[in-house]
Amino acid sequence: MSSKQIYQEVILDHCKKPRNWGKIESPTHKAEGINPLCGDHIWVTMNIKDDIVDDIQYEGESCAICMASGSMMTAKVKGKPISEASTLVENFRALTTSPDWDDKDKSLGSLSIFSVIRDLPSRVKCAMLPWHTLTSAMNSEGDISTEGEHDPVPGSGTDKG
Amino acid sequence: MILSVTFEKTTYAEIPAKFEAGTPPIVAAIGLGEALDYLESVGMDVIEAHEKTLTDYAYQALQTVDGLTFYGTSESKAGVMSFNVKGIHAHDMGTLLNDEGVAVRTGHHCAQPVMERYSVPATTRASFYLYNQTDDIDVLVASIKKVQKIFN
Repeated sequence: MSSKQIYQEVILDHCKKPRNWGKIESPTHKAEGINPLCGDHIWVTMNIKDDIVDDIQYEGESCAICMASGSMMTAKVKGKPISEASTLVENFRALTTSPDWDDKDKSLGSLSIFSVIRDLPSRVKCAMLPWHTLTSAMNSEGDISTEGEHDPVPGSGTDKG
Repeated sequence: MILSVTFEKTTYAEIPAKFEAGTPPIVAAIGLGEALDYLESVGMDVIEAHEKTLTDYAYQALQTVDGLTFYGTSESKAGVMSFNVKGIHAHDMGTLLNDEGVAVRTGHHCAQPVMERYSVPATTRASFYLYNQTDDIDVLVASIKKVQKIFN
């Protein structure tokens, strides 16, 4: 599948009609995610009850890949135990960065389309930002960036100064 | 480089020799000379005129794209065009133009204060040179219109 197909088939649907778009008022967990190199700036707010993602919303300014990834992510993790959400984060990271990774138990469902991102290293950060921010929100770590120790693909930045 | 070294004392050579230890970049210097000879054989004025022709052509051609905004429109600009198209993030534009075989730079171009000045997160930037033709610009413009179709 080419990057054009991923835009046509999935991403644009989620960009035009983002799921769970917005910010929860008084969430139990929240985080802000920033990709300083491309200017993506997003927020993930959550209500976690009895270790289950009772509600999750996503909002921000970003490219289409980041926006679709965030929209599909919220749809995927809503109602799931946080342990499962953490596994999904790891699976999504493997999907977008490891050439040989196979989603054997089909845990990611329609998100598997993001495997195309493996061939677009400069866009991995765009796809990963919502998931980093989700992890940050679940751990209540506060703000997160895709640079430094959180860099999913060190040295892949598109703006090297 | 040094003048003399003992266990007790090191005396460095005078500047600039002090900072020029090791093998000088001989290959790079010869390469630069060859490049300059080549450019002079074509003619710097010819190159400048070609670049100007392409830039003027691109400026006209890109204006046929709906919702396109230029950043930087000086009369005396070099063959570099920065722009955005309404509703399409520059990085999405770059990825999709790449699919069409068009190489552009996207992002803040290591000039974040300029992005802030124009209130944009990023721009798409196409550039032209000696080895480009007006055909290349036609492909660029047609490809941008294809990307718009994907987004609309």
